Formats: sequence, structure tokens, C-alpha cells
Amino acid sequence: MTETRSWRRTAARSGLVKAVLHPAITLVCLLILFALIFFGTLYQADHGLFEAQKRFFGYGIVLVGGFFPLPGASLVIWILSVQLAVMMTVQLAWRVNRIGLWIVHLGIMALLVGGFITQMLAVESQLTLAEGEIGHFTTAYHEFELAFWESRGDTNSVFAWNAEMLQPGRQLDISPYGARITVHAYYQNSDAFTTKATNGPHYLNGSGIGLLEQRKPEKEVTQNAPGVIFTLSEPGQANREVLLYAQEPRPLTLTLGGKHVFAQLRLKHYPLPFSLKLNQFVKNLHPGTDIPSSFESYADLTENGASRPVKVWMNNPLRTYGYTFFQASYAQAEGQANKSTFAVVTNPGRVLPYVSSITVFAGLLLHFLIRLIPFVRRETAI
Amino acid sequence: MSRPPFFPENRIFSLKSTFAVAAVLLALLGCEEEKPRVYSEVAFKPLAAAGPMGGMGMPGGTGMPPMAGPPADIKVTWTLPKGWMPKDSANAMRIGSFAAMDANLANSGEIDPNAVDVSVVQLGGTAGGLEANIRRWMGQVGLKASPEEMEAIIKKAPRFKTATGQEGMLIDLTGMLSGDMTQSKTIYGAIVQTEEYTVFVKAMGDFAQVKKQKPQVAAFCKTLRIEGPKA
Repeated sequence: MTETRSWRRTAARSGLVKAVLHPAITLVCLLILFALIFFGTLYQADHGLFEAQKRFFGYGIVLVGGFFPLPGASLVIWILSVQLAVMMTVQLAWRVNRIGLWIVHLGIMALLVGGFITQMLAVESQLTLAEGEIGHFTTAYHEFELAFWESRGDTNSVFAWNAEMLQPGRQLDISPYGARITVHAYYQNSDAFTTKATNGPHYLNGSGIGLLEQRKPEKEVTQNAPGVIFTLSEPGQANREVLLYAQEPRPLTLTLGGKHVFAQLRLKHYPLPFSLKLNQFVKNLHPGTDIPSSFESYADLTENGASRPVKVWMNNPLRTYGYTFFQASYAQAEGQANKSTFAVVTNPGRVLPYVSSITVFAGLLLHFLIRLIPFVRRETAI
Repeated sequence: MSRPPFFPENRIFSLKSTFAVAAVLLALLGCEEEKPRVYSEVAFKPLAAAGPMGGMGMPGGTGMPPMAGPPADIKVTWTLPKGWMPKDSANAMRIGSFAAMDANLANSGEIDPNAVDVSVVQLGGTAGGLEANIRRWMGQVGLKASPEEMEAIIKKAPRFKTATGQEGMLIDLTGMLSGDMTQSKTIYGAIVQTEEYTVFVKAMGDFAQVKKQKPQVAAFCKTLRIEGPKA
């Protein structure tokens, strides 16, 4: 114990630790966070939420107003986290009357760890079903994948590369079929034309597209229409130039490794470990008005052949198998089945903010009581 | 007297281990998912689009709205966006006819030769149904859609509310592929359908011009005030 105290004291006195724990760093970090939230909110008005989040809350350097550099919010929060960890390791006293402070700091650390887990592992997607339809996978809002798949009865075996990997010059193996692609271009947003570029190659495409033109990304990221151009190489076969556009309604059919394979640039799919069948969507109105009072989806959740009825309605999500289904939207049209859209979230760090809040509260309460008791004793002794 | 070492040896808090932890954290932050995703999924089977009027009308036809009933006893009014000019039309079915032009040209008093033709039409009942009317519009710009594709179009069509609260659907044919999109005509419009009436807003013109006018058309649709039908 004495040895532990000794090295903590030694470390706490060191210049490096003093520098790391300098209050000015904390103050500057908090001011930067304030500025990032302020300017990020302004930026969002013109460029959309996704772009603002990516630019102001990532790890890069942000040029506020186009000239003033600031670190991204994630970077700043990491600096604050390191400060907190160092402070707990070398400075916060190991004393019984400090246990409340320890609990408070552990709670804050839980919040930061929860934020990190959410940033790294949380997945947000959506599922739209018409009444009577069964959903087996959810779809990303704006993240794309280059998918190759074989149909095996009702099941598709999918091999997919995330769109982030589709960088010009990059070679990616399509290992199940012994093939390889060499990416020539990937546009986050593009227009497709059936005209062919002058002297351009003939592209293999299922919709007759001959030309892609890059377009400025949309303010609303979900409106982007990406496109990719690549060479498909297969041993013993002539190379094929392929163009895929995300708005194509049908996949391209290819023969790869002697098999019939489908290829499509599409929003990422996330298979569910169960299926969800929408039985009925109900929109209730306030009496005598057209103002909705509630949206309710009645569905059957089936896993391993066993079904159970579930209900999802506003502010009452379905939580199951680590997934949370929120009632997000709906569609009703004359002569058409009602449709319901669920926002689907998986987040392993979901519980940590609650744990953190309770922990911090408990720590503050404990510390208050620890300080209160001697104060009361002293007061009564006088 | 020599100073004690900054980080004593054989401690978890040694300089080496600190750098190692920092390096691992930086690697975690910097790395991207470089592995392909391999998974199985049950193929999605959309329900066939079918309704009481689903098989009626003239799917894919390019003329009049199929199964058009008499105009409903409703009153439709709107607010025009900047740059839109009312114009005469020989089409008696139209209750509104506009040239949607570049706002800068309109301000300068010039006539935009590439102005988009915008029409407002009202019909009684469901006017043949949603699908038949979308097919009719698609036919006017040389597009076709299978039942599955039509299902997807309707599914993806954004919904909006008119100023008087009716729900409408924005139909965007600009993103679909047929012919040379730099030269061909395209349509961006909206359909507001109830049991009593259907109101169509259609902006038709050159691809680039229609794309430019999309926000104005969408905003215009939200200003529609549909009052009635009278008892």
C-alpha cells in the first residue's frame, strides 16, 4: 500500500502528469466543445445533420468559418477522458472519505465508455413492412454496400464490401467465386445516363446505364445516389467493366465461378435473428379531428418456429434480442395495404448512460453525506 | 541525491505501456472495417400491389387519367412559388397551369424557354387508383415498371401534408432510368387522393429543369388548400 502511495505520489508530482492535468486544458476543451456545438448547429442548417455530425463531432480538424482550426468533438472528449483517467489513477486520494468522489468519477467514466461503445458499435437501420409482409433484415439509412449473392431457395448467401472500401485503385477479392474487382471510381452522389461517354468503355449494367457523372452530395444524405465503376477479373476469363448505380431497381446478373450471381450497389442489409410479420397498422385520430393520437403496429415475432404477438407504438418500442424497434413512420394509400416503418437500433452501450447517471447521483449523495456528518457533529459540539 | 524515476520499473503505469495503450487506442480509432461482410438473409418477398382499383384503367397508357370520375365538388387553392407564372392552357381538365422558370430570369422579366410545365388537375374518386396514374405518368416519359418496381416506387415515395391537412405522395420520376436522361422529358409531381377526389400536381419538362424545380414543386404542393367536398 505504501509502495502504491509512493508511486502515485511520485507520478502526481511529475511534470508530465501536472501538464496533463492542467486545469487550462479542461477549460479549453470545454470551450472548444461549446464552440463545436454552436458552430455545428449553424452548419447543420445548411448542410444537414449527417454532414454536421461527421465534420464537427469526429476526430479530424474542423475549419470553423473556413479558416479557424478546431479539433473535432470526439478528439476533445478523448482528451478529457485521458485527463479523467490520469486524475483517477494518480491524484484522486485513496481515502474512505473520498469514496463518494470515486463513485462520481467512475460514473463519468462509464458515461464516456458508453459513448465510445455507442460510437463504435451502435447500428441504426430501418424496416418498412406492408400489412402481411415479413421482414427478415433491416436496411441502413444511408450506408451502402457492394453486394454479390447467390440465391439458394428462399435464402441468399451474401458477400458484401462496405462502400468505404470502394476507393479508386483498390483491389478487392470476391473470394467465394475466386474473382477480384479493381475499383475505378466511386461517387457518393451521381447522375446516371444511358448515353455512352465518348471513347469510353462499354459497361456491363442491368439497366442500360453507360455513363455516371459525379454530383455534389445532397444536404440530406439519404437522398444521395452513389455509383461505382470497377473491373471484374476472373482467372481464365476476359475482364469485364461493370457499372452499378444505387437507384437501379434490379440487381445485375453475372456468371462468376460458374455460378449465377447477383450484384448490386445497395443500402446495407442487417439480417435479423428472427422475423417480424406486420399484421396490422392502426392510426388513431383525436375525436372530431384529423390529428393523429397514436400510431400502432401489431406484429408477430417468430424465432425458431415459435411466434408471439408484439405491439409497437409511439414511445413504446419493442426491445428484443438486443434490438429496439421504434414506431418511426407509416404510409396509407387508397387501395394499398397500410405500411409501417420501424427505426431499428442495436447498441451494446445503451445501458451505460443510465448506469452512469445513477452512479453519479449515488456518488454525489454519498459524498454529501460523508461531508455532512462531521459538519453536523462540529456544529452540535460548539 | 538522485530524483526517483518518473515511472518506476515493472509498473502498469510505465512509459512503455502507456505508449502501447495509446497506440492500440489510436489504431482502434483509425482503423476501418476492412473485411467483407458474409451473411445469409431470407429473401424479401413484397406483396403484390393490388387494390380494389388495381387492375382497372389503362396501366402504362399515356393519355387521360384512367377511370376518371367527374370532378369532385371541392375548391383547390394554392400559393405560387417565386418564378412561377400562370399561363393559358387548352386542357380544360386543368384547374391551374403554370410556367415554372428560373427565379432569376423571372425577376429580370425574361421568358425562360426551358420553363417547366406545371399543371393542377382535380378528379372525382380515386381516378383509377394510384398505381394506374403513376404508370400513366411513367408512360408519358417512356418509363415502364414491373409490379415489384411499382411497389417499390410507391413504398419509397415521400409523403407530405397539404395546408389543409390531406396527405399526399410525391412522385419523382427524375431518378429513374430510361433513354438519355440529359435529353428526355421527365416528371416530378404529387398525388393527393381521398375517397371523394384526387388532386394531381404534375411538373413536366427537361430533366435538368425539372430537377432544379423539385424543391419549389414540393413546397407548392404543401401550400395546396383543398376545401370540400360540399354536402
